[in-house]
Amino acid sequence: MEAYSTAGPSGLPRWFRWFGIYTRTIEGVAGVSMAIILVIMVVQVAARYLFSGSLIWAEEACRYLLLWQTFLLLGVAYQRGEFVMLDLLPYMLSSRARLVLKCATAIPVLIFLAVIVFEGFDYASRFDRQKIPALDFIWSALTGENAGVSVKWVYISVPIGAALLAMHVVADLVISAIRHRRGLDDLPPAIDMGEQL
Amino acid sequence: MAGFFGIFALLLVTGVPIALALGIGGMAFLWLSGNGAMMLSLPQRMMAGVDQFVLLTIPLFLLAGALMNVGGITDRIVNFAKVCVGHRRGGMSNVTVLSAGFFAGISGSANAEAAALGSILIPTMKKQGIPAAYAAALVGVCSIVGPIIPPSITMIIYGVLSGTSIGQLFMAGVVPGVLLICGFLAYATWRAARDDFPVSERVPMAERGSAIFRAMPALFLPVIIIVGIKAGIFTPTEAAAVAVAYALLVGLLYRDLTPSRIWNALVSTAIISASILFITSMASIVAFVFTLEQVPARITESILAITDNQIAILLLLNLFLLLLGMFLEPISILILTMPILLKMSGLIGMEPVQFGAMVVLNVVIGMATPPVGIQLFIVAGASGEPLPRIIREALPLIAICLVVLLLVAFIPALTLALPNALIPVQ
Repeated sequence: MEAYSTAGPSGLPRWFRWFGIYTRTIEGVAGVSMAIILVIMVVQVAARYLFSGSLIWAEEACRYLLLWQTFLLLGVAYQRGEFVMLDLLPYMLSSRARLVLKCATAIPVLIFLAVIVFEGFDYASRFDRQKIPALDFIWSALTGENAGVSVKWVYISVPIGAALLAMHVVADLVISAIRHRRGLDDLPPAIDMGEQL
Repeated sequence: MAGFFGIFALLLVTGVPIALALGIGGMAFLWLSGNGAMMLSLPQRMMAGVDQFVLLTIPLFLLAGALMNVGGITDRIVNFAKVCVGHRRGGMSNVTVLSAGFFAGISGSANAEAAALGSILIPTMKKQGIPAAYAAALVGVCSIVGPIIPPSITMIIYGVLSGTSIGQLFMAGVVPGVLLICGFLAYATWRAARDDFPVSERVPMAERGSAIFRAMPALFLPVIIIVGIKAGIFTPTEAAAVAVAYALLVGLLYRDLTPSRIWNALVSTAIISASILFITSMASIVAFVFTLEQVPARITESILAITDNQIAILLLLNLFLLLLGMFLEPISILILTMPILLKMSGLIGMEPVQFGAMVVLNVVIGMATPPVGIQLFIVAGASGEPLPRIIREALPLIAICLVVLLLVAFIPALTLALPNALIPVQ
């Protein structure tokens, strides 16, 4: 699965290598999180019928994993062109006009993401004192004490995800600009879901 | 309100992803309506839009479909369909329709279905001499039965948002799904006769048995899901996890699944789910701003100002949903319009389950309708055919969908008979 924006590795700046490592790390985390969600839910069903027991923390744990997984992956999903968009107009423009349009539309996008980042941190920090019950349940079963982890660490996934997405939007602009200067074509990310599954 | 739609439309045509266009439009609307101080509610809504247990069904049903697909289930379904209708004129086009119907029973999503079937069936149809644009349109439009025949992610979301029984909604989708498949089959047959598509060989008797045997696990999945939910063994969310476990089990038994394939399925499912859940989180921002500005009430008023005839309201509602469906994907439409829908269902006086099935069918048809018919984009990518030609070929098929939609809207028995027979209303 090759994203359009990384299609030309030829001589892109060195720091883009780090970008690849970061992408693979995020994908790894997401895959593991997906697997954990699956295991928890299957165990939950099995536990109820085979051992007539129930994991009280299962639902909450799955929701929090899904939240982190979703927001962490936003940037990578954007880079891979997974976001549905109408690309008819950009497609009809010349390569130069397309770059200008891309920069122009990035302004409201980045403003929006900046608002989410700032308000999101503010919002999360208001929950500093509230603890995550699910973790307390698990931790106290293991050690007899509450874990006492603040629910802030769940809510903070939103601003972090928005910040990562903003980073990808900027990186995408930089790649487009570089490709434009080298005379390579830079088509907008097609809705290329054919190779998704 | 005009400000929101103006900004949203402008962002949409300039190529901003739909999710971001929704979010930016919502933020601008909040600001323009003098509630700029409420920006803190944006991240809160974003989180609430994802932080729901039932939304776990999205990654899980997608994962089940992906595992079945890499586990070779798609090939088996296609082979089974070949045994059934492959020998008819333009055989592969009939096979496509039937495969879409069977595949719908393992996938709850039309995108996944079009992607899986498109990669196999479009090249095969081309090889048989069927025009590529028609082949692509057939896969794209037929795949919308994915969310009509259970399991269905869209119906689960509808059920949760509206408080309708998901088990009943699942059952209600069966007959409309079969009707759609029959309609498509009839069209494919007529088309094959008109354009004189070639006839292919009958599958030899010996191969038939094995094709049927190998397809059984896939055909059995919807039964497990419906029976499990109906008997109260698992909730709809857990049903999704059970479907994944089943797909893993089948894949491992047939030795089609390798650790690397499973891992790839996990990662790609997580990424696709993130982009879908991003839309639901953004739609929930807009839904919040809409409620704040009493948009649902205003829309209901303006519809009532036009007419208070139930049938006219019903038709207007269908038109409204079809129009939305042309630009948005089903789940975000449901999140955005649910307050309006609930008011409408009271006005029309339709059974909740029938209403739900109609709404789901309606928004799902939008997935195959230009300009933002995601299904058409997927098959355009898979076939390499230009979009306008695919759209022209898709139009008669969309007309069939609309006929079924009208039947569902006006004949209650189509959607209600099955759930009432199997799950008596308490």
